[in-house]
Amino acid sequence: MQFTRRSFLIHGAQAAAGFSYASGLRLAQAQPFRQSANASERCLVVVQLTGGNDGLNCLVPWRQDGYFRARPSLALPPGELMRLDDDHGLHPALSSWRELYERGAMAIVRSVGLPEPNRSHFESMDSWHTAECKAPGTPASKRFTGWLGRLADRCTADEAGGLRSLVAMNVGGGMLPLSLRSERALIPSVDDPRSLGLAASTQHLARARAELLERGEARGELAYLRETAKASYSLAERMLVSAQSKPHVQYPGSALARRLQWIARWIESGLGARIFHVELSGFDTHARQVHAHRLLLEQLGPAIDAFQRDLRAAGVEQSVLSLVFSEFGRRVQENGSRGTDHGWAGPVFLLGPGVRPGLHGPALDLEHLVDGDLAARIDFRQCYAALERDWMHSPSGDAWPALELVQPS
Amino acid sequence: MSADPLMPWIPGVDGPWDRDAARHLLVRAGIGPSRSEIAAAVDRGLAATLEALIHPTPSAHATDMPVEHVLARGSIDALAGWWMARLLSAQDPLGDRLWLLWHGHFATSNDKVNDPRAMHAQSELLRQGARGDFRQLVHSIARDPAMLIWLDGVHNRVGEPNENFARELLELFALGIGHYDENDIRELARCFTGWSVKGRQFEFLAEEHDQGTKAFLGRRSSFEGAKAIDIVLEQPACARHVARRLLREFVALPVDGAACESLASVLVQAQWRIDETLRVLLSSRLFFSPQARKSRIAAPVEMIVRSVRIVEASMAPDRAARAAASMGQALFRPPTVKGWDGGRAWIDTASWIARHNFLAELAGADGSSKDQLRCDLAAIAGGEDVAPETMAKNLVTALLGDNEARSDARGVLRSCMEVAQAATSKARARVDVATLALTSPEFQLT
Repeated sequence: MQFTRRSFLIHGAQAAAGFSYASGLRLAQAQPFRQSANASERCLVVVQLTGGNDGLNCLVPWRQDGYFRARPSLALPPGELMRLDDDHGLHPALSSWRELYERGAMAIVRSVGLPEPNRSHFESMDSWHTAECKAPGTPASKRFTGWLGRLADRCTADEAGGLRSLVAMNVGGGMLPLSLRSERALIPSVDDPRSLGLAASTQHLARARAELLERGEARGELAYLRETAKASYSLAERMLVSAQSKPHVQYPGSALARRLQWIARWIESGLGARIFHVELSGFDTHARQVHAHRLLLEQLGPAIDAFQRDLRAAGVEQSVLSLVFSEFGRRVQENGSRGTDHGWAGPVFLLGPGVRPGLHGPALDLEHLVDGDLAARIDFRQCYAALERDWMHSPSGDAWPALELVQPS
Repeated sequence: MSADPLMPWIPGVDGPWDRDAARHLLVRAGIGPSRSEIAAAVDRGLAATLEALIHPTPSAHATDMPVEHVLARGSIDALAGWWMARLLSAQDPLGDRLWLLWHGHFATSNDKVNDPRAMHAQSELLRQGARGDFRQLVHSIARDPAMLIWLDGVHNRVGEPNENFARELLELFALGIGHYDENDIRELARCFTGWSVKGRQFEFLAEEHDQGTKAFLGRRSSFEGAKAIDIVLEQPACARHVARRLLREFVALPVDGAACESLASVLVQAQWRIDETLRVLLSSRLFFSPQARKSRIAAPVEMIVRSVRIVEASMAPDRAARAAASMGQALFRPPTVKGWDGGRAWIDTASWIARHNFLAELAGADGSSKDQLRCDLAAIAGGEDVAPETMAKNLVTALLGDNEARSDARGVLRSCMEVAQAATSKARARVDVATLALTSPEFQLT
């Protein structure tokens, strides 16, 4: 969705003296936005690795001979891995996650995937997005909403007084991913704070608008519109402030890092949005994987590391949990082009102090593949269920046995 | 409210037939009347205006760009733009309003159908059947190829019934929850087996049809689809369901059981003709009551058409369609088969900003943007050189209506007058006043 990319409400130094809707609210209704640092308003950041991330070269079971047999050119030298424990190491490009691991802020769920392998990018990603799997050739489900969109709908349904504020955002330009399609909540795609800015306005016009929102008695629909308008202008103000505020740490220069940096600002400023989606694509490494995969992980690793350190310095780290996933893993055996083809299961990473740290799910077993693949032993929806039930406190009602991935609160 | 809420409202007796009454009628029966259309309605009177809505004279100029042109592009966005152009030209306001209503009622999304031609064919079907016999509309839509794909009718076969269409027919289209049970859905689904699509046309596959006996809604026989639809439509709950839908759309007040019963009877007596039913509703005391005026939050498509037409700008229809999508109403892509919830569901902080920015851009449009959108406020304001207070009054009256008894309009007017006086030039003053009026919450209420 495109918003006008115009300059925002012109404040200047008068902002402090002027019309701050936040303090001007008189209603008994809930505040239109929350201070996320204090409240138990938890945030979920979903990082999508598009293309089918080679999980086996991210979480490496380096003790298993099968790894080296299957990947003569792709296997990573054990000495370069970031050691997690006696049997596992992370790709060296993710070595900046060492601190997260050591402080217990990282969980890795192994062997996650669809119940049956689906090697179509499109169908597989749709499944992850909608939390529904369909057998090829059968009619698509009625559900055109995504699991995050439904979560957003449930979150807005809980709000007292009927006011609905921004609850989820797709961070990055372009179309809203299916995972964020909702029935009610309007979820914008925002590339930077200017996307939710207001069209330019003169000083006295902005003041007149503020006064108009308070004139006389408003009831019913008019009252609802006024409250939303106030909350919206406040949101735009906060967006403006967030555009001007600086991160607490230095971020790397990638687009992913920039987007995570905005997310950190928005969480810190208590915008109210609690669900964020961001994407890193290019993981479909059919050929010459070593270099391509490393470049991608060199974006992912440091960006997430900076993000976590930024959240921590901002004092909001305990309210944020990040999920890193891909639509499928890749085949164990490398192909003839020094790459890998579409596989099945892969790891899911969960980052943040709220996780139950360590490795979850059954151990990787390269001696017992299914048709040459690491089989999915954990349905991805179990991970969703854990996040919905235990992290966001908003179970979906789907009956997936949740894993224990979140620290009890 | 008196015993029968649908009792006729007598203009001049029960209330004045003035600009406010005319605006109220045109903004509900149509989508976005212009100033001149409102003035013409005041002159003509209620009865003649209603008649013109129900039976519009065909326009001397064909304003529709040939749709084939658009369909050849294969883009659903282009098709949305084409339909938006129709709404913006307002050749048939009631037809437009009803098309939008049925588009959201029999909500079908191109995200699954994936065929703009089929979506267009469905829309034409809805448009042509919009004001006539509702029963006929249901029969037509049940056989519509886009609908058959959307609700899996094409997969509904003897021995492997697919309940999707049957369920939505009962729950959403015709009866509403509480007037059928799961058995009814299952049995009804069997009646539609073999209804399929070939080459964008309805096709009945006799060998796929379940010829057995079905029992639902108290009836029992080897019904096939058309007869099954008749049985559904005969249920007393059906007329009430349609009545409720019409009340929600045109009156937009909390549900009134008495009004619903009354309108349901009107519908049946009118042989289920939507236009004659609306003639009664749109001339009733309920419709013209003070509570019913400006009680409805405009849907994005409505707000866009109304704002563009009231300032007499001409906006590229594709741009208008995209703006509606950014506000949560993408034509031909409703989020679910329930359509759009409407009302307060349209409004949250993100959509408010989208509406605000759209209207602010419209008010300030001076032809300098890429698509040369222009909004000539001087004419509406009464001229280039009128005094600020007069200018503000003229603009607010044009944009928001002028029932001065309403305190909300008075508040806007006062703010606009202050803004008019503070502006540095007359042109700036006009833009500021228009911006303030258009971006006010008051403007969102129709």
